[in-house]
Amino acid sequence: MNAGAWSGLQELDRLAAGHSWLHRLDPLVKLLLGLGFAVAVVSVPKYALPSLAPLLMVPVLMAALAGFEPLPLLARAWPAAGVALMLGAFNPLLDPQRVDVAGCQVSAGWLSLAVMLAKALLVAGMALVLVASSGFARLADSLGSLGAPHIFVQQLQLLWRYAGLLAEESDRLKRARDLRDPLARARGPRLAARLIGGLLARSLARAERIHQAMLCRGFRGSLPGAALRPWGPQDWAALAGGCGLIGACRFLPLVPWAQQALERIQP
Amino acid sequence: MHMSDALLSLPVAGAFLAISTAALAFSAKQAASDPRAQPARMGVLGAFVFAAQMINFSIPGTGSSGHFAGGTLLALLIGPWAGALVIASVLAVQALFFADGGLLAWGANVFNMGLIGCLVAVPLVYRGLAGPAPSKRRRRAAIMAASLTACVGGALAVTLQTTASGLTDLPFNRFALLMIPVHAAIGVAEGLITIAVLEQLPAWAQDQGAPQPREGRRVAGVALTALVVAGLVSWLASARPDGLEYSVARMGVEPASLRGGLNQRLRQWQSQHALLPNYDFKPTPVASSGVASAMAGAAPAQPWPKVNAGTSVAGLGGAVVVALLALGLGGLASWWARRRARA
Repeated sequence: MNAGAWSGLQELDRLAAGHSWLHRLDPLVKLLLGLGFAVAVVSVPKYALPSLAPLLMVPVLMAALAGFEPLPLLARAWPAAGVALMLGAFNPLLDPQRVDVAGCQVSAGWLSLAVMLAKALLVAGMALVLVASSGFARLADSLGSLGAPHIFVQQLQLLWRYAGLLAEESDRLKRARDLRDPLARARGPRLAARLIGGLLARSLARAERIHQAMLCRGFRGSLPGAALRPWGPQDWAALAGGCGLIGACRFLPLVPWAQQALERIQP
Repeated sequence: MHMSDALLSLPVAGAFLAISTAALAFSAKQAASDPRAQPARMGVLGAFVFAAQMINFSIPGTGSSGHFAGGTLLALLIGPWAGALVIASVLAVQALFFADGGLLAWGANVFNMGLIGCLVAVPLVYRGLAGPAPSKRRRRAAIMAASLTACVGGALAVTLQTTASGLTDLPFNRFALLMIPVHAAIGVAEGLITIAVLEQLPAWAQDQGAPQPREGRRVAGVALTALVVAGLVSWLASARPDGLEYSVARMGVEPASLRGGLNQRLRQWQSQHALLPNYDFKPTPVASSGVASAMAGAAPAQPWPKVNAGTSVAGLGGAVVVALLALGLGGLASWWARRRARA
């Protein structure tokens, strides 16, 4: 486990310890809102860039209500745009239609590329806001209450916990290698393969020991996550309000209305 | 190989989500009674694959890079059912925490990186080539073949899903020619890493020998069903006109049942009252003014999918206003949340 990834996971867990209105909502509500938002974004047609503008409101509002800084979240969402950029990079070359954008003739492929990037960033940003306000354990528990198989929920929780174990073991191995070969003379693919195999074997052995100890202490296959309470009026209101907001942003012609308002204001 | 939501249309994403969810539900049922699916092993291997997928290696001569997918290694160490579940959990964490792969695209990603590797490549290709008691050389060759199958099969699935979604303009054959050689090279690297890691593991941690009774038949059934359904769904969910529309357009006639009478009136009513007729904004006065009027002559006669005033940059000014409003609302909400926190 590289240090950056592990510190990233810990940072998101730290954000989940907040006490905002969004943090107090049931994680299942946030998960359902996230899926609804993804459906709304993905349903936007290929060239409809303005239709995505109102949808920006949803993650922005959520992030603001949770008290998150928008820029670090945007930076974390950026990898989502990578694949979209790679596969959409040919659109400007392959889409021969010409359109006029603010007086400039451009290939329609630029539009579709922009739509792809915007979609990727919007969905990734929303997912990060929701996860950062829920925490991993609670989110996994809520997946269980949604009907996900027990073994899958347990796997998610153990992956989370053993990621730390792997990071510790990898740190130890790296230190041992650096102490034995400070000048990096004997490094190569063969040593790397041995180290990786060793890391996996050590981590597996330690995980088995921990698991045996857990079984001895009465573990019966479910980890104690944050206890999920029944939904209160606040959760139902958030679900209804969130769905309403997503629906309004997607289906109401907000952009033409804004355009009309702009034209009325202009002398 | 992680697909993002931006690359998939709603029908394709939804269909693959349904296929993968069904296959995972079946895998969960099978894994519950599989002695190889031990929770501690699954957890550590999940963390290991999760970490390994973050390290990209460059592919010489192509200018691109790839990463270890891990399906082959997992299926060899903990069986195909648990392997598919572990890959699904890794992809869920990556999608939720690292924005690597979309939320709706999770199903497609599980299919491409998990189901093909764990339920097709290892049980069918590896077991078929290696046989019951393989020599070291034969085992290595079988692992290499399984890794290649997993990577190239996954790349082919990505190509099919992207083409069926119709959001990129890459033609299928050109896209496949671009993807398959690169992923064949990634498959070789995946095979080498899998062999190296497996051979460094002590005996207790390696492949636990023969598969479970009737596992081959069950895996083949699930894999075949998933592949056939996925192929059909990709074709049906294609962004191209459906079979009926296409046939009608080719004949140049409108079926009698759709002409005049009640049908005509219903269609008229629908086009007047639908919120988004043909997935588009209704024509508004705005569409014929400003930027839109400049665009009106720019679009070709019968483009498909069409670029028009409603769905493109007609409302550029409006979009900017709405985006600014969204940010303003966010600022307002942030102020309100801070105020409540102080109180």
